[in-house]
Amino acid sequence: MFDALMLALLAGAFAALAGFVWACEALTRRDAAGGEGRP
Amino acid sequence: MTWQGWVQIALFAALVLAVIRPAGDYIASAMQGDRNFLSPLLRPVERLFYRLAGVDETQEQGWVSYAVALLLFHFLGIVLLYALQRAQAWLPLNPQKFDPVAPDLALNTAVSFASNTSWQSYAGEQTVSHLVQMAGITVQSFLSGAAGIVVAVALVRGFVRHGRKTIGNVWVDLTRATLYLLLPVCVLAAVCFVWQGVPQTLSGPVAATTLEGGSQVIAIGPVASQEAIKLLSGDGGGFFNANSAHPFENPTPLSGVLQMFLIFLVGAALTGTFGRLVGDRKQGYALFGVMAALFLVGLVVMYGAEARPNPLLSALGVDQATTPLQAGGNMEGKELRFGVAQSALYGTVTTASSDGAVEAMFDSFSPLGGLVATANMMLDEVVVGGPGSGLFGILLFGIVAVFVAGLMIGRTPEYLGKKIEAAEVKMTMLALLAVPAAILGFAAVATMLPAGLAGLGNDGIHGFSEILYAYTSAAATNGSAFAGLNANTPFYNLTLGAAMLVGRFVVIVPVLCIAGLLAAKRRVPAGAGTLPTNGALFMGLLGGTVVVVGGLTFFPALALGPIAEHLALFP
Repeated sequence: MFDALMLALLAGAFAALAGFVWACEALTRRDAAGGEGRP
Repeated sequence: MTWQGWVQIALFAALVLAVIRPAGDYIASAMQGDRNFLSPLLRPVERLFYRLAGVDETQEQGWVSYAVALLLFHFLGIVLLYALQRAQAWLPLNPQKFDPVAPDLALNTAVSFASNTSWQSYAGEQTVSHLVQMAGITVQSFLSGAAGIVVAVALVRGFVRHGRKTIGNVWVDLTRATLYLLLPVCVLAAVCFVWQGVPQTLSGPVAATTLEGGSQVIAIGPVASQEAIKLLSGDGGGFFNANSAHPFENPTPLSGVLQMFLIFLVGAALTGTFGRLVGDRKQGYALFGVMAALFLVGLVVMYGAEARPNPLLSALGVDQATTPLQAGGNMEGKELRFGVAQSALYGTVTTASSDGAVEAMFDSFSPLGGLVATANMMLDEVVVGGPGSGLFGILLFGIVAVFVAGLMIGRTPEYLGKKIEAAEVKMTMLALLAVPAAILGFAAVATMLPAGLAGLGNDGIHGFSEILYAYTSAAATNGSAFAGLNANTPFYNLTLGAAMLVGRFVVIVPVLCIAGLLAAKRRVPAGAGTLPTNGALFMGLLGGTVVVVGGLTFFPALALGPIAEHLALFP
């Protein structure tokens, strides 16, 4: 039972990291669409 | 401080300086897939791996694919190491008949080695079998070290490439870093350690009768092979609980110097790799110059602090002078074989890098010595740093430095011809804030909860320093322990494990994102307003950025710990 709990914690952490990848990609895509900045 | 101590430090520095260019060039050629002197032997093995794994080495990945593959790779590695520890009682190569490792400790250890931290809440020789040490811990030391290198190389590709959507193939990069760099050096290093007296055997412990007639069980095992990658990969997790203070891990002063050299080898050489790949060696030397300056400041402070007598013992009339018959200074917690100079040098090297191996106990260092060790890690370990993590860490600060310079003159900053815009700065700040958030957040929680305070070996200021050091070590993926804190509790095993995950992967993801962003950009020609990033002005700006960001972030916490403890020595 404790093994299942530990592995669930680990899976949750990596799911959050996968979500973080998605968030970074979405954030940078939005910025890229916003223009090139000052010359 | 003695002249012999400074000679030892100078020799070590010369050794590191001598390898930056050749080792940097070798890493560059190996990671690019160029032919080198090991190719006739290793290229067929490399191709065989790709064939077995179904990897097309010509197929490159964008940053998202690269990052997801790396995360998946580490997730599976953690699960495998966890399973090995939990099943060790029923697996071979367990001469001491160890029981399964407790679930929370097994998870902490698995995360620790897969994240290149090597924080050890357990005593190696009393907890895990030879199989776990070799097939679990040592393998993860290789792979996590390789992962740091590939992230750094991917970031460098971002600077070098233009108009490209890809940053490399993670499977190819991991294979090359392991096969051409880590494995060959480790074979040589392991042989050297055996020559110096480090055991390398699959036998179980030896029972000995002491001179007093008592019995003693002396643990041995496959130590030399683990020792080599422990140092080269920046992992630092020892076979024995006492780590490199144990005579079987570090038998002689020469083995101590070799250990420090291995710790710095890849981190220092990667600055040479950077210069070679971007086509301007001065760019790499500028980064190394900043690292070296910060390292020297820390070393002088630590060596000076440890070479001085403890004022509280002086007040009691204890003779702490340096004489031909005694080392003098603060010798508490230090090996007589190594003395103050090598202990201070090793302490600075291991915390400036992400290694975390120890040959003296930081808990017994003077408050200023402990301050340097803690601060080195708090600076995101960019003072040479770990394999890869040092280079991508200093490049993150470099982005902040050119950004600040750009703000000063009202111009979009550039680094190596790539415009640094909002997206890159946001990712940089995410990466740079992840470690401080984990350190300060978890340390604050631990100091407020009974579960956190229960692990303390000391009350008051020093107790806070122990907690702060533990989370700093975990989040900065160093792994060294201050000692004194009993971290083998469910609370510390889980919270330190979480700090390690944040400190490693929440940093790596934005770094890979920056690599992808930069690789897609066109290069802009240098103009009159471009800040040269290979000169003294940039080096000063970069060093100042590292110190100011680190100082502003951590000074209040350090003031409550080692600084207050130092002032308490002079009532």
